[in-house]
Amino acid sequence: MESKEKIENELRQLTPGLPLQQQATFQLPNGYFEQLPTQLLVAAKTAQEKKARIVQLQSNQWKFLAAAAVTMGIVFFSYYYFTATEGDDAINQWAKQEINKVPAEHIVEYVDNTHAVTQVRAAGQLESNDLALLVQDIPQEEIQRLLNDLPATEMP
Amino acid sequence: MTSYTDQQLLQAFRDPSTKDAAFTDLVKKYQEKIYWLVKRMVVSHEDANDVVQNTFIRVWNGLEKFREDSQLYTWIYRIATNECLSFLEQKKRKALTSLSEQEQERAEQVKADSHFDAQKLEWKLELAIQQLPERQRLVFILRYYQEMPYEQMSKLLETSEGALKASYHHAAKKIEQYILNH
Repeated sequence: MESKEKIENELRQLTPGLPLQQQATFQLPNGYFEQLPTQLLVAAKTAQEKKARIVQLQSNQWKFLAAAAVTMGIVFFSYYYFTATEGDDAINQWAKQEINKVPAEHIVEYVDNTHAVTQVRAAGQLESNDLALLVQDIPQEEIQRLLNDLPATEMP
Repeated sequence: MTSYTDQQLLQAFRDPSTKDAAFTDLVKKYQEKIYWLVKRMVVSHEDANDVVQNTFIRVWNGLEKFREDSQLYTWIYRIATNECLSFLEQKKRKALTSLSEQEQERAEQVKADSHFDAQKLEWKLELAIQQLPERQRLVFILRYYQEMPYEQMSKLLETSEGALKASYHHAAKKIEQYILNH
């Protein structure tokens, strides 16, 4: 600490009317400074324990939240996977049954014609007369037979 | 026990077997200085006790990691002044009264002390301090009551020595004026 004399000299020069280093004696609870070290040690340790409990609780909460997120992810993924597979299987089953009913040569013929139309469409040059040109070589009774053979059933 | 150096106390604190005793000795060494600094800032004993408690809890929590690039004494004082200023800031925010009313409240609390004597110069001084703005009050208390050199105060408050001298001189003039008028 700086010397008392130095501080008093400074004060004397600065404010001659001010009392020098006088301190009022405030009222204090009995034995306050005797008890304070123990009181503060207890308070510090209690605060530390509380802090540790909060940190522990927070870390457990993170673990719980992480576990919950993983579980929810698994449940959601499983639900999506199984329901999507069931739907696909039903559709595939129906499609197989329907295709089996159609004679093979009709399918080939249909695919050939569709492919031709798609090619023309892809080129972006399909005009009203082009369709007539595409079907002009197919006999009328062939077309009628194809239409009669195709089942008009609805999807399940 | 309070004759231990800060270095010895630090070493003892870092050893789990002497940690509690070192902390107790450290409190014994600084408690009165810290308490009277806080008491003159916040006035009420209950508030001062709370601020002192928070200060030493922070000391306990941070002492193991204390880097020793500043003096332990300065570090503890910095914690105490920060705690004081944040306490007063919180109180100001919560208060429904004006600043001058709060000054008046503090003066009334000084007068409520059972040892208060309105005729004595030292009590007039205590009342005069309560009229100062917080920072100026802090500088005056540190210099006048705690006899802190400007150099150390400069490190503590992170303010230039020149600015601190000016602040102290200004505060002393205000106090002188208050005493002359009362």
